[in-house]
Amino acid sequence: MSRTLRRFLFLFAVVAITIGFYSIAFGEEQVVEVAQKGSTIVWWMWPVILFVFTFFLGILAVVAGVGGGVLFVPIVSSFFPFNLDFVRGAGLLVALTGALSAGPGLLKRGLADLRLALPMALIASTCSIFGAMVGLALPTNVVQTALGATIIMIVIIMATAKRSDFPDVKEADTLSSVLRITGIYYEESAGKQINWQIHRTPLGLSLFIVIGFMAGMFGLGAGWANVPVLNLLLGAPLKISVATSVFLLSITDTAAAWVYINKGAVLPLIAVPSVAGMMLGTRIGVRILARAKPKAVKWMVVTILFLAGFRALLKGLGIWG
Amino acid sequence: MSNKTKPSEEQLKYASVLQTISLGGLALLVIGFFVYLSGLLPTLVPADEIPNYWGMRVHDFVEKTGMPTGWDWVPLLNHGDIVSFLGIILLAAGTLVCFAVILPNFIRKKDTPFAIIVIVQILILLLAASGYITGGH
Repeated sequence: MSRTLRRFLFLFAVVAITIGFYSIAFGEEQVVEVAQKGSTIVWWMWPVILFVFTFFLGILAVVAGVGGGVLFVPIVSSFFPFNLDFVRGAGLLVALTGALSAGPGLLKRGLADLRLALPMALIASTCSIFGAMVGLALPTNVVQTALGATIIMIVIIMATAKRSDFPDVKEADTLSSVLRITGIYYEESAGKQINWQIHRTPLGLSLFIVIGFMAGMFGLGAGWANVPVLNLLLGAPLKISVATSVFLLSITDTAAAWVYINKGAVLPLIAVPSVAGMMLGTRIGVRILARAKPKAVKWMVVTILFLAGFRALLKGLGIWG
Repeated sequence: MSNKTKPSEEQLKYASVLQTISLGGLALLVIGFFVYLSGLLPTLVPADEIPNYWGMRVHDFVEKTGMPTGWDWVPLLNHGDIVSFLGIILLAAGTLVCFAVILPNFIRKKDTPFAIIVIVQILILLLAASGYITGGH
């Protein structure tokens, strides 16, 4: 592991442990009280801490190859004094801005595919609206418990899911043929053009009902679910799946974000430092990525995510926090 | 990039519009936030009072602060906290604009399934943006 990465991981651990201990030692209510009264920590420190924290989170997200949104919501909701409603609103915006920034480049290079994304996005975005409505209607402890359980499930998917660079799709199914969901892209590593097509489209579309709903309900990006469905189930090549997943997020999260915005659940004081920190962090992360050992970092992120999910679960059940 | 691997016209159009709007949205987000924090404009809720409310559920926050919901913020654009929303609104509106821009391509090509998908998608996003559907209390 490079010296830069070791330094970064050390700094991240210090920030995370400080916030974690602070949160645990004082308990959530006291942290809020302290934040409100400003006796121990002045109010503007929280957005500053959030900015620094999301900056490191952005670096980790890139190096580990996971979306920022899926890390943001469970960790920030567990260790910061913000209500889960505002964390989910900010989380959606973090995932959305990441997708909006990367989307145009991926579309122009032909890696994200419009025809593959649009039918899935229609289903996912519609369901994300319902997810957002349900998430804002349910009691916080119920959403927190469900979030914890979902994060633990995501950890299991991340730890066990295999990926296939070029899945073997012998015959396109009827629906994808009618919609002409097929393409060709230039694979640089192989130095040749790759033709691709998909199968099992109806099943894939039905899974986007669940993916969209969860994205809206928890304010998570849904790359963790999009990629396995596009790659392993539908049979799109891995690069096309990852890029199309990012583009898909920009549509799914837009629909859910409107529900949070209209409801008043996007607080600029939380959302803007988060977006800025995450975007700067991902830029630095891209530079570190060249020297890092992503596998080691990925397992570290999986562990952090598991702990955050476990804490969210216990917090939701009223056992801890 | 060969002709075979070149993305479709509508895909390139979508990408260009999305890029412009995303950059504009991010710039507006940062500018609006500085306007908000700098105190250049009056605020509905001063930034230093927000910590009193950010631990509350959103409906309690709205009830206590009187912050606008839906599109009620439009007449209040002379307030710093509302100006800081503009970037967020532009980022959220970007996808809708992109779909509106590529719809004529699908219609011109007589690509009926995708024209229908895009029209329905626009309607769904308009419904979400309208403020008529909200969750909670």
